[in-house]
Amino acid sequence: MDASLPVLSRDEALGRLEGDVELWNEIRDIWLEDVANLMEGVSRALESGVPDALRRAAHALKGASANVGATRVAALAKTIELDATSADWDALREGVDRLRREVEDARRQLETA
Amino acid sequence: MNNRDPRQPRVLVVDDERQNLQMLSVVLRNEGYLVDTADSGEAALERARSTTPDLVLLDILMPGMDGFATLERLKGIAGASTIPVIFLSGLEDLETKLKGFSLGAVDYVTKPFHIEEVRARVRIHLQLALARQSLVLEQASRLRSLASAQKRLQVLPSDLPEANFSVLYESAQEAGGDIYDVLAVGKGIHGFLVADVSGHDVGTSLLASAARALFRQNTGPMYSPEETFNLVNRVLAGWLPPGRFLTACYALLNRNTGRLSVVGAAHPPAAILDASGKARSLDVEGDVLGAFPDARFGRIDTRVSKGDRVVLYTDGLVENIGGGRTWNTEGDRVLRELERLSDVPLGELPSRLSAGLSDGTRDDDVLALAFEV
Amino acid sequence: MIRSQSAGGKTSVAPEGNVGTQEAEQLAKAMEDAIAQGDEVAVDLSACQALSSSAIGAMIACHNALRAKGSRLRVHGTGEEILRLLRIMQLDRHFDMA
Repeated sequence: MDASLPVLSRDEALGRLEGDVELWNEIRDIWLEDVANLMEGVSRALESGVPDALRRAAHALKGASANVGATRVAALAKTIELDATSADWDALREGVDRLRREVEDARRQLETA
Repeated sequence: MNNRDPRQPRVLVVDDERQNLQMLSVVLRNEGYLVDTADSGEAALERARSTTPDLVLLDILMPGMDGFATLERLKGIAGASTIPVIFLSGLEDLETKLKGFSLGAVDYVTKPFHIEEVRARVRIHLQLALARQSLVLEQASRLRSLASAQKRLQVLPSDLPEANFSVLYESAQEAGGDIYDVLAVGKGIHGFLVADVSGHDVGTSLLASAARALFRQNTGPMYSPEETFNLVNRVLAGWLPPGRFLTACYALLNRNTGRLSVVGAAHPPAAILDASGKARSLDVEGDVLGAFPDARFGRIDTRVSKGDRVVLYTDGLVENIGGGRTWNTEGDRVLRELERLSDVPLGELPSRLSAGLSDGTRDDDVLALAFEV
Repeated sequence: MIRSQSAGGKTSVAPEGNVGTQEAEQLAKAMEDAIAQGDEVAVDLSACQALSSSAIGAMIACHNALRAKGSRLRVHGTGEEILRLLRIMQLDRHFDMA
């Protein structure tokens, strides 16, 4: 993941929504409600050791985070989605740990945005 | 499109992610669309059955039934098979897109959504569906005059030597309902059509010539064979009197690529005799034409080689209702006869085939068309 | 020959033998009468050996008339050969096949 990516690109997300702040607030609220479950899904998929489960769980988190502009979470989740079928589970475990931290960063910023 | 107020089309949004459903619903409702949502493929099929949407936005990667499987099933639901479907996906690879298109999706939107793009694509595909619908209605009204004006003009093998075909057409009564046509679709590409209008009265031949004109109007490089049948079906369904229908078989031969595509509408199957003298039948399922607005037509693609021969025919070649024989039990007899005639010149094949299959009690039109790759 | 029985808002039509063009006209007539009196219609094919395209046309017309009233043509007693024909023509997708 590109280290220079911002945690939150609210303006970019708003741009896709044609500047509709109300709509962005709505999908932000959904993200805040759902993100714990989505992250939990990724962790559980990792524990299960099933590549396809991990790929799907990461895909879901990526989609929700990209919508709201949680850029770093989206990018990292995408990496995990793409690498899920590779055999390097140590790297994947490390990636999921980082993902958990990124989610917390994004949550803090989104709660106050 | 159905009978609802056309200014308020109904869009079905299918996605397992709550956030996406919410976002797309808000955006589309703000545009004035009626929006239904479904969070799984299974729920989408149920929705499509009960509400008949005008357009579907369909996520690909979903747990359970994925978007591809959902689309395939959707195409099988009566009344839903012609609804345009736009895929939603974060998967950007070409293979995914091609698979979506090959399953009959009309377009593709990539996640994360740009709502301006979603709006534009939804609008254009609803417009196209509406335009197709009025095109169908317009053709139907044009046909009414056409049918009474146009005499049947048959293409003869000498008119189109590069198509390399021969044909036998024997009309049992004046009011024959069998038609055939041979079309030059492009360089090295020819379409061969054989169809049968049900019924045996004076109106039948008029319907037959109208149907032939209709096929001509809707054939060309921009239409796949199934699309041709879909268009013809929709015009005929709004136009044919009750109890009238067509069965048809259309073979599109591309001599440049050695590819043969066959589409069927409840018609006796095309038979193919390869250069080694083995015959097989190209069975393809399909609804009858002109009876159901939501008809579906199967298609098979096969490779052919120089020297292969293909025969299309109507039920009259093999059927004898008085003797309890309908065409669906006679396919093998056609194949064996074809194998027996593997050395006959192409020009004689249709008449020799007819003679070999006749039991002297025919009461229907007989039409057999043969072409050689 | 076409046998037709009507009772309690339901009409059952049973064509017999080989249903050619002429028999198909009688079949169509029997079904039209049933629809005209507002009946549900069922076709009993148990005594039927072969269906011409005109007979199938009559059944489709009846089915579409019933469809307009929210119902479907019921078809039962279908022998193996005829069932295969109806399947190839995908009519089993439209009719109510008992």
